[in-house]
Order: sequence, then C-alpha cells, then structure tokens
Amino acid sequence: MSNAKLYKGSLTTIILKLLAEGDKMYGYEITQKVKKMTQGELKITEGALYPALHKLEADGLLDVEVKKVDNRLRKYYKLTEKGTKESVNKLEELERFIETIQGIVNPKPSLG
Amino acid sequence: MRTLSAENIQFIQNYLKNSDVVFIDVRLEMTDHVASAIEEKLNKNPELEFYDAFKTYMLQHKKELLKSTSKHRWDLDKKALRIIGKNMFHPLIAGLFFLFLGVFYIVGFPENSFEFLWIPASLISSVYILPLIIYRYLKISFVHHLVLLVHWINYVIVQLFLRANTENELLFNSIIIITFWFNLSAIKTLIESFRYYKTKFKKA
Repeated sequence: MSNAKLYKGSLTTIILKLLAEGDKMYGYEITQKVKKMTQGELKITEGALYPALHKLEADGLLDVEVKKVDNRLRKYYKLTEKGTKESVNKLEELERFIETIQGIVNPKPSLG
Repeated sequence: MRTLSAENIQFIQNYLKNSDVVFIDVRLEMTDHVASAIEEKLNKNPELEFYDAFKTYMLQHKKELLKSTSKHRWDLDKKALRIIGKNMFHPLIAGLFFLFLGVFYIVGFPENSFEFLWIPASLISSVYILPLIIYRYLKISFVHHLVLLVHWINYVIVQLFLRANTENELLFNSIIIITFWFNLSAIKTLIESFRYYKTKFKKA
C-alpha cells in the first residue's frame, strides 16, 4: 500500500473507533474488519496492529479478556471507561484534521 | 467451516517458540492470529492442506509478525512504574512503611545484633529471588519488564549507597527508607501481577 504512512498516524483512532462501535474484538478480527470497510484499501499489518493494541492496553484505554475458542486461547480487547472517553476525543481530533486537510486540498472559492 | 485441530495449534505454537517468541501472552495472541488467517485460507480453498497454508502464510507474514517482539516495550516500563507508584500509597504498604519509619526513628535497630538481620535479609531476598522464581514460572511480557525495572532501580540505589556520604545521616537514612518503601511496593506489584496473569493465561 503506497499511502501507508498517511494511515499510520490514525491507527490508534481506527482501533478505538472500531471498539467503540462493537463490544469486544480480537486482533485478526480488527484487521479483517478494516480491510472490509475500506474495500481492501487499508491493510493493517501484524507489526503495526499489535504494538498499537499493547500500548493502548498499557495506557489503560483497553481491557483484555482471554477466552478459549477452537482449541486455542483468544485475547479480546474492549474499551475501558477511560478508553471510551479517549475514543470520542481522538475521533473529534481526526475529524478536525480531515477538515483542515480538506481546506488545503479543496479550498472553497472566496467571495471577495 | 474448517477449524484447526489441537495438533495444528500446537504446531504453530512450537514454531513461534522456536522463533524466539518467548512470552506466553505474546505467543498465544500470535498463535490465534496465524490460526485465524490459516482457517480463512482453508475455508476459501477446501482442497488446501494445513501445512501448505501455514507455509504460504509464514513466507508472506513472518517478518511482520515477529517485528513487534524485537522492540523494547517502553509502555510496559511506564505501566510497571505507574502501578508500583500507586501501590506505594496502598494502605498495607503505607502502613508497613510508617511502621518501619516508627521503628527506625523512635526505637532504632539494635546495633551489632544478628537477631534482626532477617528483616533486611528477607526483604532483599524477596526483591531479588522472588521475581526470578515468578518469571521462571510464568513468562509474561509485563512480568519480565517489571522484574528488569525493579532490578535496575535497585542497582541504581545500591550505587547511590556506595557513593553516599555516610556522615550525612539524613541523606543516608532517606535512601534506606525510600528503598524499603519502593521494594515493599515492588513485591506487592509482583505478587498481584503473578496472580492476575496466572488466572488469565492458566490454560496456555
């Protein structure tokens, strides 16, 4: 993916947004959901996803639940109370950023 | 819908273990990731065999998969410090700390008495030996970072002791008191973490 660097800074926000919409998700599920939502445009790699998830967990934004599924243990992530608040802030931050960039890429013609 | 057998899962786990993924928490998460990806491949192509699907997946993703394990996780050091700091003000730790403070300043330790040597000896042993036992038993990334951090901080404290001016009683006593307080909290954090992760990953 050529524009991976553009998405990199938004990975945390993407994860928080997905978890805010659903109850709990596991790593592979997140990668597949993002792939599906973006029609394959954005593919989150394992090397980027797990450090981001682990950092969010260490910062107290995510809580972990381990369950046995199909002969193996699965680590589910869900938002903590702090994480729910942070997801709102991060989304607002991202929306403002998109508006700013849009203002530069597609400037509105001035009336004067 | 095809799911992987217990033998297939064990194969993935052994492969990751042999690829230096030593921490149980990291390994079980990677195993699930690889297994989920392989199951998807097998369900898309029912004629595909597990070993072929595994080989193809690893050829494409091994580098990315193992990328995160080679990095030092500063977030875990921060987390460990935060919990130790929080535990320093826990009623039990704070209570023991004030008890020690009272004994230290009011009663004082009997000089040249071996009867009381078990107090510092057991504390030092707990801080140095307990983490090693815990880590040997439960290879969890957070426990590993916690153990390393406590050892490094104690190393710095020992260096301070060696360089401290023994004539400056206030400074010397302050180092002893803070060391005692920090280590009490470190032991509590270690035991709590061990219990928490043991329950969480007992099936791994």
